[in-house]
Amino acid sequence: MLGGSVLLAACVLPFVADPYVLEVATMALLYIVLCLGLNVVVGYAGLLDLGYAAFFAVGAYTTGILTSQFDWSFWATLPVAAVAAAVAGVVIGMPTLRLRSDYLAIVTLGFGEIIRLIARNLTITGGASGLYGIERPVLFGIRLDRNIDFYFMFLILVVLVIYVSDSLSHSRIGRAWLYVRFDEDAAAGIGINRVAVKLYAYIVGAVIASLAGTIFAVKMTAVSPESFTFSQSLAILLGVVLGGMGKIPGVILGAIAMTLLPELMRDAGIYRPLVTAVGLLVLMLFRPQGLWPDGRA
Amino acid sequence: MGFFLQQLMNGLILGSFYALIALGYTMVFGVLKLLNFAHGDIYMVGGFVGLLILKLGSSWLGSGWLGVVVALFGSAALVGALGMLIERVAYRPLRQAPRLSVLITALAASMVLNSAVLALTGGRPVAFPADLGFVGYDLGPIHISVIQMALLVSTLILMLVLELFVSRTQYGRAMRAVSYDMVASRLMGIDVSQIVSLTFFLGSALAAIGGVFAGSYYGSLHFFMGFIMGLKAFTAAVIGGIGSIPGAMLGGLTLGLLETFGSSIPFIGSEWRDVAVFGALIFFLVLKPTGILGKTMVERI
Amino acid sequence: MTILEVKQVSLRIGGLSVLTDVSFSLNKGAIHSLIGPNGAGKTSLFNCITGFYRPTAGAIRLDGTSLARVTPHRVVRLGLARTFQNIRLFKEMTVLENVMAGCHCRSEGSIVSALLRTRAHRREEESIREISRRWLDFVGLRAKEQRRAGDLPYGDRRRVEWARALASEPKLLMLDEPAAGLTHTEKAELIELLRRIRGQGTTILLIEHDMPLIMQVSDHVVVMDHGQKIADGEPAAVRRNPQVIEAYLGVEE
Repeated sequence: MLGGSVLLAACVLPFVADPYVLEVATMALLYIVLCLGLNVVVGYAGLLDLGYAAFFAVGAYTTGILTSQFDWSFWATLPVAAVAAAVAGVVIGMPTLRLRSDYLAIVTLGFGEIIRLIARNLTITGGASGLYGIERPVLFGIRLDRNIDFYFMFLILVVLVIYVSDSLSHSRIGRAWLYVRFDEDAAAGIGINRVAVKLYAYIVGAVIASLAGTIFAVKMTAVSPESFTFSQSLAILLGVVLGGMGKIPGVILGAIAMTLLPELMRDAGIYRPLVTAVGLLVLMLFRPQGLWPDGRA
Repeated sequence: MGFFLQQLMNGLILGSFYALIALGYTMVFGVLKLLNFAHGDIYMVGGFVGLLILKLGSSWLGSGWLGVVVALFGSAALVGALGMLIERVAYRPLRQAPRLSVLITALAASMVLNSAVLALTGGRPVAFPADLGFVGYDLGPIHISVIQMALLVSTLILMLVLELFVSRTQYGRAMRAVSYDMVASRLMGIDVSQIVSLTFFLGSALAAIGGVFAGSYYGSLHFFMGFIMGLKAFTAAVIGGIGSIPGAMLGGLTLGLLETFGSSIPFIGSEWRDVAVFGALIFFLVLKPTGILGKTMVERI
Repeated sequence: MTILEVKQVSLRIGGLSVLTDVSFSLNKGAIHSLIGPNGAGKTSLFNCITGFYRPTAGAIRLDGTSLARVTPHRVVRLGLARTFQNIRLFKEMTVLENVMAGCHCRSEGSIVSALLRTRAHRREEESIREISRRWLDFVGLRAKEQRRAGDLPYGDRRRVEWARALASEPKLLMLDEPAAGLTHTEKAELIELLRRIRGQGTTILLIEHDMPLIMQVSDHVVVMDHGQKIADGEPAAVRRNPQVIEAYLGVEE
């Protein structure tokens, strides 16, 4: 009921909002997708991923390269981007998911940097200046190039990702994620393949970020390595932690907060990161379960 | 030959920085099994504190060697205390918390340090006004400056002193006991909190020394310099074998040499240097997680 | 009929001999006990059998299948479930969810079927719940299925762990010190429960210190000391074995 009202409000919003509000709202939807995707990895499976923006980059660059250099249609790039992210997830996950959780954190951090550096140094990705002239999507002969189009594309993706998160969290796999998160050895001792279970979380998270990346690429029509830095990964993680790891409404609120806070703190200027950092530290010390936790953590 | 030796020298210098920072990672990890994300930033803050001391003291001490040495010691003491404070405020309350919360808190501590310096410096690089001249010695085909020698020798001495401290003194023995089994150590009457504080003090002081050397050697400091340094020093600690003091030294030097020689290979070049470093990290973690000198541990169920 | 065969198993950790040449076999459908003074190597052997340690030498077979190089989660699927000495429940989750973990290796719902919410998926979820509830009934905890596992009293937490292990449909159930910390009444209930488990055809291997309980419930006892098996047989015979008496003298009792 509440969900339905929120969705209705989200559908009406772009018709009454001014361009600035629409832009911020679109960014909020993007962050909701990314935070819900990372939530599968961090909130459900308990794996600290510090390079999540890398999968976002995989999607954005896949679509960017295929549309701008090979004249593919945007829609055709979607499955390719999803598969590319899944493959990247397996490549990085397979060897590292056996490791202790803190090793995993630093490996993902290194992996995030590797992807960014590769994007910076290859010609096909446009090097440090990035890719330009990414083709806009065309649907039934209509070119989607207004802000409101991208708002709705992200909104559809948000609904899809909520459905995916909700279905999985109430399934056998979703429970296995929690078992592994709460006690890995006990989970293995009761017959759960911990590496496979973690890998699934990793792949699901990777594909979600990648799909967000594809829409991001066609919205901006340009992508550069600077959109996929460590700070980006950190911002997504903060959204997940702030809202309360594991619970969908909490994560959505966290994502919205992470979009709005920088806008509200414009006056703070150079002190903004400091305020954010101190805020996170205080949160971890006094309310580590986040603002709206799932009651388990 | 001359080029080779010069590169060797450069690799050892770079490696010494990695080793100094890696020591702190290794010690904290050994005792608390905690990946102290803030450690790279401690190194950065160490540089800035040294800069402050150098500037404040320059009217009496000058900005030559005397000033730099005072800055080294001063920064080590102050930043060592800062490390203890961070442990006290951010990590100790979470000793029983899930590992994920602890990691995120460590990340938060790291962000607080680097965003505070960002706010203070405006994000611009700051010149480090040490005036050490260009005096140096020619050893055959290569030239070594005094600062390079000082860095190499200090790193070596610090590592030896640390190794002796850990293996010979009462505190060092307590430290090893805590790293082996914290609960049993507490039952044996070891003041675990005190040992943890001491570990943070030593690790942070070493990183601060690294930071002041970095300022004197490269001539400037930047708020973000701790991020990449932290990542690479951690790599060094893993290569050497996390938990091992000589391992941190060995890993640091190995990484420094690999990086220097790697980037002089034309095909690889400096753009791919960091990719290779993180590649090495993943390679070691996966194929030899105990590193070169680490001991194999049997996990108790 | 042999269910578990342990053949000349040795384990060395860092130059230290933890187990030396241990051999014995367990018959199907009986209650077996593994006893020995502290440090005799019982838990290490337990960990070798369940795949948490890899023996340095020797062979372990479950119902004819070699367990060498089999990872812990595969061991469970092959029909060997265990409990932990220091109870390892998912404390933050409900009692029912804990028991449902045992069903994981006997079900196959995939990500795709969960996303499509197929009928087969819903049916499997329903059956997982049903099976888990049945095991909660079996251990007498059905009424507390929605409680948070970490909030239960100690004796109940042990039962949740047994139900969770039973839900994985083991041929052989290995319990690491199940009587530790139980009250007198709870011990009597444990004995009754062990017999009920045996009654449905499941073989049991206990690691225990509680001698009266072992003598009362076991069909067969294996005694270890200093990493070696020193005796093996019926409880009454083992009790008279001079080597066993020597091993225990001054150590316990």
